[in-house]
Amino acid sequence: MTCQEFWDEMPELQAEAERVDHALNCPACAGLLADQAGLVTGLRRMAQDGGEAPPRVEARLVSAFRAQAGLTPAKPVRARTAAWWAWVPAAAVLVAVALFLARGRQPEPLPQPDVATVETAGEEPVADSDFIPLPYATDSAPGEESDLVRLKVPRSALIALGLPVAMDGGTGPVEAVVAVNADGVMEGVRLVQ
Amino acid sequence: MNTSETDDELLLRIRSGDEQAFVSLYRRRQGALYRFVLRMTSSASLAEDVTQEVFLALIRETCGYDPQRGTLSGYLFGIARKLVLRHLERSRGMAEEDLENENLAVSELASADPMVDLVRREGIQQLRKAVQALPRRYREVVVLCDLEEMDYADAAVVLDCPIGTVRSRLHRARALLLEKLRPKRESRSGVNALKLARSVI
Repeated sequence: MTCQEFWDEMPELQAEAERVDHALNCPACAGLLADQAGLVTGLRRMAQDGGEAPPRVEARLVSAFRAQAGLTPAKPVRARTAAWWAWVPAAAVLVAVALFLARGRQPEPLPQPDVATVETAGEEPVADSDFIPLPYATDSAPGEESDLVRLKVPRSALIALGLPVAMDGGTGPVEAVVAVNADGVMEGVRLVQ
Repeated sequence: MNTSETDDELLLRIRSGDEQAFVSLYRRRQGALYRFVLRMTSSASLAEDVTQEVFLALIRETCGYDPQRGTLSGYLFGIARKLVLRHLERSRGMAEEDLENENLAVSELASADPMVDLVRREGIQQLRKAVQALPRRYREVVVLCDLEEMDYADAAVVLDCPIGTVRSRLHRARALLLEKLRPKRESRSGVNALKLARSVI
């Protein structure tokens, strides 16, 4: 092996056994190899007194990491926030519908019927307290307007309703004032004596 | 903290927001990165900035580390090297720098017995100057393989070149270092041998 071939194989980068053959017979290459070994030793020693980044670098990086970690889960958070806001219009519509329906079910604050002033033509005022409630009639809500209708009712019909109708007053129809609620259901009757 | 965790395992935890994993990886790798930049540029402030920038790149969502292409350490060194090269290109023309350093006067660094000197403080200082005076492509391979003891495969990834190139550059770099350290009067036979070595590159 020539010196050229020896160095072509870069012996300083190979195992000890591989470089022995030529180096044993070539003092120049052996000397150069020894120098290189000394150089590597020197480099290793030089490596030992290397420094490190100052602590402030770590502090800054940890701070940046925290900020980044706060942003990293922000995507799902933003996604969740968006989903929440997406429900707001739907919820508002639901509430509006519910309010509308609830309001529709509530009785209108109709003007309180002034029963005392409700009169049939040419008749005396009728008092609310004189009315006899009819069985199975739905109770009106307070303030619900009722219509008062004066009419003539056959005595038999009144007796059938269980109303106290004197039979000694004749067999003709009896005048009565009937209270009819907004639904058209008769709620009570007052006999006009 | 489990110190036996690999870099890749730590990175997985980092990506799930684990600060301790980040600190652990940083403490494991920052020294070598810092020294690499420091020895490449001789600037402590730049070494600090680059070390910081490397780890910032790691925690960014755009971090392009791919375990199939190399180790995480190699990836971090790769970022550091790009930043260093950018700095060197900015500070002065690289070709000009290489030419200047190739022709650096041997007498500036030479002493009577460089190999003995290398074990002494002043010898180490001399060697440091010699390393800093190497052309960039040789300096980086010495810093990675000799000073940081990175294996050739990892160095090849960092330097983005074949392993054979790493070996030949290291070989050449060592020859240049010896040439710079060897006194003129003793260098004749050594230079002849080094010229043989140089011719293989």
